[in-house]
Amino acid sequence: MSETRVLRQVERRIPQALLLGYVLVFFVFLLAPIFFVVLVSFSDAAFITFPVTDFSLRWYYRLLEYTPLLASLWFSLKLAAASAILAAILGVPAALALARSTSRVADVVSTFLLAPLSIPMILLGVALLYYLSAMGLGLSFISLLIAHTVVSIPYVVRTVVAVYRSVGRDYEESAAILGASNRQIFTYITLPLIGSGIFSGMLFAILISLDNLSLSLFFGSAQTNTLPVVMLSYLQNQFDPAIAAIGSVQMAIAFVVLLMIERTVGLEYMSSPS
Amino acid sequence: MYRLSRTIWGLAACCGVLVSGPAPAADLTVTAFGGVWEKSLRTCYIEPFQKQTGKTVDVVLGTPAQWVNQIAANPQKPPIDVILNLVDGAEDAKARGLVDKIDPARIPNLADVPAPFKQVVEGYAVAMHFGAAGLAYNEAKIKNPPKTWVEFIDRTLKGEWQAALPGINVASTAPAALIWNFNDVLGGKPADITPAIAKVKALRDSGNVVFWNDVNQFLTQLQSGEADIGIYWDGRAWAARDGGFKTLNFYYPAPGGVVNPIVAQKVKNAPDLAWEFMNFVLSPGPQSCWAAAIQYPVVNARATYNPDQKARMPEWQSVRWPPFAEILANMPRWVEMWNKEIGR
Repeated sequence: MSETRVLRQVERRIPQALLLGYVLVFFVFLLAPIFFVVLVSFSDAAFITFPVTDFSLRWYYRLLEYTPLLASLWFSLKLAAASAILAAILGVPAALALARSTSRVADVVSTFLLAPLSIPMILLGVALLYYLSAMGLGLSFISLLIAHTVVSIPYVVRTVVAVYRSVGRDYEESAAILGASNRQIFTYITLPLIGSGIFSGMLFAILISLDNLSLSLFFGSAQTNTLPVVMLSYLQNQFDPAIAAIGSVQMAIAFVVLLMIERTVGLEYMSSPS
Repeated sequence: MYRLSRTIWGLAACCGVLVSGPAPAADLTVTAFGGVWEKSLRTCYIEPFQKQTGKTVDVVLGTPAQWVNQIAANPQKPPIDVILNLVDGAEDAKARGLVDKIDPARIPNLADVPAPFKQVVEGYAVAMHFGAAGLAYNEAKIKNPPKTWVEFIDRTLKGEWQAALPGINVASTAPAALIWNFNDVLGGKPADITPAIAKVKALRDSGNVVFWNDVNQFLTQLQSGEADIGIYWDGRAWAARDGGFKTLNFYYPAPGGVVNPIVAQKVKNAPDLAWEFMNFVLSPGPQSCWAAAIQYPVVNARATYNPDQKARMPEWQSVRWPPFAEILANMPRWVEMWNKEIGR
């Protein structure tokens, strides 16, 4: 093979190699903090220290011993799922109406529905605390669910509007012409088409809820404490690897859930339009 | 379509799991900070109280700002009965009319509590334990620590070590243990903190200071070598040393440490059981248990300590008391001045 040919082949591969290198560095940058959290959770030291020299499962046993951490994790998971479902029930009909509407009112309503994203969560938390307390709901699962749903609805609306707008009216019109009722059109035509948008929106809603501290802080009570609030309270007094352990457990649960979705329904099905 | 049906049924099953009835409300609800604080509270106070009275007690984890706002939002039927609070949170609760004045007739154990601990927050709170801010340092790096606060400032400016100071975000520490403390030893008054701000600015500009904005960040700075000495709390410093940071040492420079008590307050419209609980919290046996658990001195004069622990604890007569009410009143101006001049 001539020298020129070899040089040309190398020249063609340099951009690919550079891109691969960039992607690898990017993923290392993204995943390294997660890796360190998991690594530190297996440390035997009494406080968070790096590098980890001795390994142990003591901080996972601590999760069983200090019950608020696991109890609040279970509560957070229930709350996240409930707020995602409620956000979908409220957000999907709104998104369907907004996506097909040409009225100027629709633009205003759309902006209004996205407003919670632009308000600092801590302000929203204080305002909702006083508002829901004045309504008699006080500190309860219902008031916490309402608060989390308020910030989840924009995510569902945005994703469903985006997906529904990309789907033409032809399918629904064809079904109507062929005699399908509105319920049948929604169930057999519209819902499968926007399924990926609903799934993505609900996934965002779950992540926002699980991670939410500012909103949950003001609704925390003996029965309604979420994991971020308990973790903050724990960290203010102790800085031991138990926090890394509960974080690792949370990540493991997310991984298992995604695996279960993949095995039952299929992530590819959920994330792409039918 | 089959997959969609399966998805919908899956969601419906989830809804069934999510719907669970609320736990029955306890007879009393008290607040707690998390981790070992909450665990010790249950061991030393809550479980024995429940056993003695047959009443149930719930614990709310969180922060003072959260608790005070929850009570303010539900004043007629407060969700919390007894707040175990920081002093600034206690002042806030008192200013908003959310707590009752401490009634000595309802808390007989107050007779064994020294006067300064009963006068905190003008009688609307009573201290249950106290800590004092001093200097924590790495004794492997500093062999001759400063004897006074002024000496600490001067030798930091000269560059003898890297010091760690609390930033303004540490609301439990910076206002009293840094701003008021420095201002006090430099001859200033709470209404005029120019002396303290000028010194902190000079320290920042010297390059010999790092700021910490989280109580755990200080330990990380000392462990990593980013800092060698700094303002910190006694109980936390000793806990870190006992937990493995063997070269960490702690002391109170002259004219003394800066006290910060944790106080108990009875919420307005809370049941009378709250007074009973507060009296129990101040009784000698549970107080001795509490001191051993969290390694801070308690307020009941009849509480006992193990000798090693006693050697580390400050005498309440030797600590300096910041004017907490005056600090709270001046806080907005202090924060504005800090943000303009220091910005950390």
